[in-house]
Formats: sequence, C-alpha cells, structure tokens
Amino acid sequence: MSAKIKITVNGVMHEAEAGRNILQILLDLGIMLPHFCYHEALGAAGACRLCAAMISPGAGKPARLEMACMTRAEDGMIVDITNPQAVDFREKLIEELMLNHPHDCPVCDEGGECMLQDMTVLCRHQHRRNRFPKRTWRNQDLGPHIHHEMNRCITCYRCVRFYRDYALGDDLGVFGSRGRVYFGRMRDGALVSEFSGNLVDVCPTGVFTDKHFRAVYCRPWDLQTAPSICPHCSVGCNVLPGSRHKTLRRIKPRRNHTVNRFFMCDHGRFGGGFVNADNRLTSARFDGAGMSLDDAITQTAERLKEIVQTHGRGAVAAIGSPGASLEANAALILLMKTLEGRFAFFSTGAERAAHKRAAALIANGQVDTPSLPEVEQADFTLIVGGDITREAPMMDLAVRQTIRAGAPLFIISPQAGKLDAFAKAARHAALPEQAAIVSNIAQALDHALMTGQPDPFAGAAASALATAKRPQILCGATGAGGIALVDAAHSLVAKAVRPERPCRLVYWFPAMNSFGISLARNDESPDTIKQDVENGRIKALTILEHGASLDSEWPDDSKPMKSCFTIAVDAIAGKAATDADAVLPCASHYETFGTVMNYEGRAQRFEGLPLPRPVTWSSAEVLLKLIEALGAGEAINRTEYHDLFEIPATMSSLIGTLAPDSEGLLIRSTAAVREVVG
Amino acid sequence: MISDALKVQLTGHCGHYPSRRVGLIFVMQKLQEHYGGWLPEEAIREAAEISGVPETEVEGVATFYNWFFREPAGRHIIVVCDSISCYLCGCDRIAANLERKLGIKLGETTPDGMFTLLPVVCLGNCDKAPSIMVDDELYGPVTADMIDEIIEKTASETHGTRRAHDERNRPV
Ligand code: SF4
Ligand code: SF4
Ligand code: FES
Ligand code: FES
Repeated sequence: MSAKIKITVNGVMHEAEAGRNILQILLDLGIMLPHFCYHEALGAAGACRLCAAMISPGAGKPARLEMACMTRAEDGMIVDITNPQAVDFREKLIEELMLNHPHDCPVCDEGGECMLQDMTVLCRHQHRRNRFPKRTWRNQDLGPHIHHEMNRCITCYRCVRFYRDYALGDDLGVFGSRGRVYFGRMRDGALVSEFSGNLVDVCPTGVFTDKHFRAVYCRPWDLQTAPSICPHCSVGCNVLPGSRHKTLRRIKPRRNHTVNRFFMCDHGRFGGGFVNADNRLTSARFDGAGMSLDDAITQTAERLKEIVQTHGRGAVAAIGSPGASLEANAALILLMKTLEGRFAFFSTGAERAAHKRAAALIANGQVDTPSLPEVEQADFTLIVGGDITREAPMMDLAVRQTIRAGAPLFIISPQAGKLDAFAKAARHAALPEQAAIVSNIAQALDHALMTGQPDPFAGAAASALATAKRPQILCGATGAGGIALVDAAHSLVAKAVRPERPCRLVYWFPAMNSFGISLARNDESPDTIKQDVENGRIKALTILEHGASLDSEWPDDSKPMKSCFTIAVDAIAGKAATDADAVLPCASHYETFGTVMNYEGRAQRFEGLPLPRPVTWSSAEVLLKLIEALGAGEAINRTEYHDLFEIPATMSSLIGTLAPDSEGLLIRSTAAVREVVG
Repeated sequence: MISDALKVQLTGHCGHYPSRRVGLIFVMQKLQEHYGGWLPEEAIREAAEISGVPETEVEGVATFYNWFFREPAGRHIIVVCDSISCYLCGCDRIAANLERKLGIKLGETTPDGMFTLLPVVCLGNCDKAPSIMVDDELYGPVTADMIDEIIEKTASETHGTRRAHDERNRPV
C-alpha cells in the first residue's frame, strides 16, 4: 500500500493512493470520466485523448487540460472534469472519433453494451458535421470464434495491447498510419492465441464480436445471467453465462480480483456447447423402460436395497466425478455410507495418490500457493509436469505477465509447448522422468553459483532460482508424473525457501473440482473398484456425471461389467448413461448451483441459469432424493461436509453461506487439517 | 530471394544492437533496394527472419512509413502534403493539377511506371505551404504553374534521385 494523499475532484476533497493515475482514481470513486484506451489490466496509453480534464498541481497554480490516464496523482492536485473547456474538448474529440463510424448500432452485436455508445451519449455528441466521404474497410475472416467489423474502430489500440503486449500473441497487429489504421491479421485466417476471445471484451466498440453468440444472437439486456465458475480446468475462473429462452447463448468472464480478474481463455468461453447439445439426457429410464424421474428414483432405491440384502456389505459401489460439485460428490458418498458401499473417483490409482498428496500439502498450509494475480508477480518461474497452456490456460496467461516483466522461465514438459518460445531453457522429457530432473535442480541449488554443472539445464535453472526474490514453481499434479513428481517439486521448494525469501508452489489439477474430491475420506483407489466391477464382486455401481469427467476412459467397451447393475446420474448421454440400467438425468453445470474447489483450495460458489427444461434438479438433488427413497433422509441433516471430507469444521459450516460474488474461501486459511494421504 | 551475402550482411547488422529488432528499419530499406523499390511479401518474411521481429509487426512497420512500398512503385515518387497548413493554402488544387498532368489519381502509378502520386501528412515544410516532395527534393510554396516544370524536369533526369530504384536489377 502506498501513501495516502488528498486530491480535490470537482470541488470535493478525496483520499487517494499516491502515484495512481487520476482516471483510475476517479473511476474507483464512481465518477465516470469518459475514456476508451485506458483499461485497468492493460494500463494507460494516452491514445484516445478522451479522458481530458482540467488539472492543477495545487491551489493557486494554473490548471491545464491534461489526459487523466497519463497523470499520476500528487498531493493537493485539483481536478475538474466539468470545466467547459474540458467538456467541449471531449465533445469535439468524440465527434472526430466518430467521423468514419458507420452508425450501424441497430445491426451491431455490441449494441446495448457498447462503450462507444455510452461515451458518445455521455459527451453529448449528436450531430456529425463531416461532409467528406467515410473511409471503409474490408473485414477479415478471423476463424471460428471472432467476427471482424473494422469500420467501427476508434483506434484505441486496446486490441493489440491485449493480444500482442499482454498475451504475447504475434498474429494480430496494427497496420498503416494516420487516418487509415487497421487492426487485424496480416492475411485472413484463424487467430491462434488461446485468449483471442478477450478481444470481444477489450474492444470498446463492435469491431471484434463473438461469432458463436452472433449465430444465436439476442440483445444483451434480454439475457438472463447467473454468476458461475468455468468447469473446464482447475483454475476456476469466475464467469457469467447468459441464456435466453431455452438455450445458453454466451459466456463472459466475471470480474473479480482474486482469480481470473478481467479475462478468461477461449476453451472456457467457447466451451459451453454441452448445455445446448443434442445429447442431453432429458428423461429417466429404469431397466429399459422410460418413466418419470420420481418413479425411476423409487425403483432404483428398491433395487439397491435388494442387492444389499442379497449380497451384503461392499456389494454396491460408486464412482464420483472431479467434474461435479462438492455437494454432488458429498451426496454420492453419503449414499454409499447409507448402503455400506464403497466409492472412488474417476482417475487412476497413481493419479489419485498424486492429487491427494498435492491437495494435502496445500490444505495443511505446507506450501505457499499463489493466486493468479500473485503468479503474475513472480520473478522466476519453473513449469513442470505437463502442458500448462492446455491444462490451465489462464495460468499460462499469468506466467506471460512475468515474461513481460523480464523474469526468467524454465520449462520441463512432455513435448514442445507454446511457452517454450519465451523460456530461458526448455527440456522435454516424459512425465515419469521429470521428478529426476527436478531433483537435479534441487541438488544443483546447493552449489548454484558454481559453474560446470553436470546437467546444464538444472544448473541454469538453479542459479536463476538462487538469485530470484519471488520465485515460483508450477507443477502439474495431473497424471503420469505421479506422487514422485509432486514430492520432487515440494522438496525443491523446501530447499529454495529462505527466511527472507518465500518460494511459492502451484499444483494444478486435471479438472474443475479435482481438489475438492481429493479431500474425500475413505475413498478407494479407482483401480480396485474397477477390478471388482470387472470380476463381478461389485453388484451395483452408481456413476456420477461421467459426461463431465472430461476424458475419463472408463467405463469403456473393452471389459463388460459382469452382472453389475449400473446407475448413471448424468446430464449428458455419454457412454455411462447409454449403457446404464437406471438413468437418472440431472441439470448440467451451468444450470445448477454448487461449490467447487480450485487449484489453490479456494472453495467457490456458483449459481445456475434458470433454463426451462424437463430436468431441473442438480445431480446432488437427485442423489439426495435417492437417499430419502432409501428411508435414510434424516442422515442428510445429520451430516456435515467435514464428516465426508478432510476439511476444517469451520470451513464446513461456512460453505453453505458462500456468496458467488465473494472471494471464495481458502482452505489453508480456515484451520490446520491433518494429512489426508491414506 | 536475397543472396546469402546480403543475408549475412543484414544479420550481422542486427547483431550490432543490444536487441536485434533495432536493426529492422535498416534491413527493410536494404530489402526494398534489393527488390527494386518495393517490399514483396517475400521481403516481409525475410525481414522478420533476419531481425527476429514477428511478420505481423514487420508488416505494421512497412505500412506505417510513407517510404516503404508494399506494391511496385514508379521510378519517381511524388507526395502531396494534405495536412493542415497545406490544406488551408490550397493543396487540393495542387493535387488536382498533378492528377490532371499525370493522368492518374492519388495513390496510383502512371502506366509507363514513371510516377507514383501519393498524399502525405506534413512534410515539415509548413512555412512554405502548399508543399510537395518529389523523390528527395522538397518544393514549396508550390503554385499551379510550377507543376509542369517540376514534372518535366523530373522526367528528363536519367537517374531518379531515389537511388534505390536505379539499383533495381543490380545484384547486391
Ligand atoms: S479494433 Fe477495437 S480495440 Fe482495436 S483499436 Fe479499434 S476500437 Fe480499439
Ligand atoms: S483457464 Fe480453466 S477455468 Fe479459466 S476459463 Fe480457461 S478452462 Fe475455464
Ligand atoms: S483514456 Fe486517457 S487518453 Fe484514452
Ligand atoms: S502541413 Fe504541409 S508541410 Fe506541414
């Protein structure tokens, strides 16, 4: 926190942080000074000249017309945005920016949420005096996601500042000069950046718009929205899906300051197709017969009771999902407790061990896990354990901010990746071999400043790590690296930490709620459940949201589920639901509410869009109904989250009260919990 | 295609700077000379490769500056200032005269490849508005009756003052 100063705005004295730019101070105070090119994440460029205000360095000193975004606040400054000279300047400026604008708001996708509309009205420009012909452009085909309409451009440069400067992409540029500046690609073609969708949000006009939304367009004010969390990776970006009538129309990032802040990746933004897909489950089924969900639940309960009576304890089992909420998985575990059954989660035994170890280290506060804004602050980064650009895209974008600041980056990955181009050194090795390389770095750290390391990669990484002030290690706890890699990363961090210098550690996971389910008590290895299903020991298997368990390969066709009664609780008619004996359909992620835990162990609440569908219950609700149908309803009220998961009791009671627009709840900050690796 | 010798020379040039990209403009000038007064797509790729600046950005530089050409240009380049001082002093008339004399519009090249006529923003010669520039030579204030003389003088020169152009077919 920098020092507080006093500045006068429109005659009223305010406190402000020294050194911030005047425009941001005004915006924080809720004073809308018109602007275009300034963006909180992209900074000030002074390109549009719209944020003009009369600014004097202090009482009695002459005021001048200055760009507020380019002026740093100093004590005693006097800012007047209502001064006639400033007002007049801004009006003329808008008139100039609008010279070539096609005035096509009625057919523009941006209409209704357009900064240019707002600013034009705010500056009271309404009559164009220009008598010259307008300049017109040819638009480009920018690929499947982004629609291009260059005539609407007001040359604020936000697009290239985001795409090129912020996200380090090199296939979008600015061409020409003076009155003929063009923003686009060198030639037609799909934008290659994983973050191209953010152009839609940063562009203050309708130059870049969402092609998918365009295909099912409605005015933004007609959208119903619900604060949600992206289901596609363990970063847990805050998003705002919007729907109209029966369909999801688009997804936008939801502003927050602890996770993804302003942006999101294309995978998340354009990955909502599962909601409207044709393969949604809409009706319940039992033993091949269609029926109401209530009836199917009743019959399923009867069948489960019979199986338990005939075959005894341990004859029923369940597979939970990292793609489902804490609530849904909790209900599944409770169902198994009721039936004295067994349960596991989609993954493999080795993966499960790695997830559990990593989650325990974070939950117990044994590692210092940075939030995304903190990842951006590091001055040394080592990435190991997978392709972060694909597996945790927004973390890749955070790392790009360290690269912009000149911080060294070292990468150990299974194959060449997009960040390699920015790395000081990149080493490609299969996941099971990566732990050894990490250990080499730890060893090299002992003599970091000596030259002539046996492993030059490890030597270079170690010496950069030794001299960094805010180093971090980002480790994929997703798969074949296993527990060895998780431990190797932890040991390296333990060695690098010095009292005066922390070393942060991220473990990223394979799915949205991998962290949450890794805290489950008494779950088994998925391998043993799989075996016992295949050898006929398990007689009934309940499968939760297989459709959302991204790339789980099991159940598959290769091994028949011998004499096993399968129950699918799912939103999507994937493999599990197609083959199941009982199908209990539920709402999909964006249509329901719940809590998920991201890679930091941050519990975040999401809410659902009210889509009118035949099925509106969440998977958690369906499972709770099933428990009630088994006559065990009172167990629901008696059970707390900490009975089922290794989470502190304090957190357990707070989960129900979490608000979706809050910062969420960090597990490490709630209380110490014991090691959960079993 | 450029010769290996030129490539080595230009690559070496970029190596003189703490950051290779600083050498970009020089590389582009040399390539424009090599390709006979303009930069074909091939030259953009080569400049990107030599300087390490992404192609998109090289294209941005090529289209930003008035004296880089992305299409074949005439032997002589005539630019007419249409910025504020020259506008007030009647640059429209000068441009119209030039168009009539050459039989082309602003932005075009005469069919014989002799002249390219372009608008430009301020030649820094505002005190002598309206102003034009022919190859490396500034004229101003220009009056309508000077146009014929300037064009004839330029056309009669065996060598254009744009050296680049004369080296069109010379191996570098
Ligand atoms: S395309 Fe949009 S973001 Fe880019 S300069 Fe034009 S108005 Fe600004
Ligand atoms: S980074 Fe992950 S959570 Fe964020 S938008 Fe992309 S896929 Fe979704
Ligand atoms: S916002 Fe200040 S100049 Fe554009
Ligand atoms: S305005 Fe024409 S030379 Fe400056």
